[in-house]
Amino acid sequence: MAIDVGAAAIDRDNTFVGGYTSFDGTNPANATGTIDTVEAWTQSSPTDVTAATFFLVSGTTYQCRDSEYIGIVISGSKQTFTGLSISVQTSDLIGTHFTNGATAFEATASQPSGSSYYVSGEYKDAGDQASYTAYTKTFSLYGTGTEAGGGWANIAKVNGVASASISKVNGVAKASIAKISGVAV
Amino acid sequence: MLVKFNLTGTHIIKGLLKVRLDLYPDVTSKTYAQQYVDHYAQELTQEELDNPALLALVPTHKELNPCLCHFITIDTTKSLPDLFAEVKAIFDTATLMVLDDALSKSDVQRVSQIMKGKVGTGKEVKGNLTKIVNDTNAKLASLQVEV
Repeated sequence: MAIDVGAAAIDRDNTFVGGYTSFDGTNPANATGTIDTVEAWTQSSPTDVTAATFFLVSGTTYQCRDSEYIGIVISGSKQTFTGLSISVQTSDLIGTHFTNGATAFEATASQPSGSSYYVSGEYKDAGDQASYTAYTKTFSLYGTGTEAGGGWANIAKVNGVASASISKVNGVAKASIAKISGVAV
Repeated sequence: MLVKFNLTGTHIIKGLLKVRLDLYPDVTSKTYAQQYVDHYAQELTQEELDNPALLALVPTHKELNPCLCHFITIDTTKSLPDLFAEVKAIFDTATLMVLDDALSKSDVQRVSQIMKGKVGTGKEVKGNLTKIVNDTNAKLASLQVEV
């Protein structure tokens, strides 16, 4: 099963500025595994962006589980980042940190409280804890990847062997296989 | 298509040196229209960011954005010709075709699957990590690879 976490990385009509550590509150991770792909849409090209996963400790305290630095996120279109390795567990939330307050992610305002959470400053490293404030904006940051176990999203077994246990099919490395019998893996 | 090393993404994580490869679509690519977009011609002020009416007044110009930003681990001792060969192998013709199609359809799970196994061949790095990042960026500055 593919990991699904965060809000759609789309062009929105408001902004979510830098200087904060923040995470989405609308779409927690559906499974445990690794986020290898992140999508983002920014309005003004923040230059020092980190993508991260967070989980609730207690009350309003959340902890960063894992993160990876991605650099600049160029504005004006959806930007897709692959080759990442960010640990995620079921119910984790995806978030970000970037320092420049004059840059921003695309966001939608006037959403229910808890659509996102933020804290001033940098709490982007694994183990960092802080007390977060519920916020009414949804911002454009989405993550996907593979559930722990490494199975394919759409094919559970090939010739009776679980997809998570397969390394090759007919001599072709698993990572290079796009379809089997016309079905996307 | 063209791959440019984006030096803002160079980092060390879990002992591995990672570099960022920005893939720019050709004019004939399915993703070209999605990535040939308006950019603000000046740095935005906080006031402009906070006020959509003011933001609409900021002049813009067209620029081509990357259709994909992919990270690979690299070995610091790898020669540039070998690194370029690795980049070409990652973005071979068959991969570019399916990738362009998946990106144009915003099929992010498919993109994830296509790129998942293409993570590079880097080994653990030790020593002055800041210097390793700086030296790597100096080595890769302004370089690009036709794929």
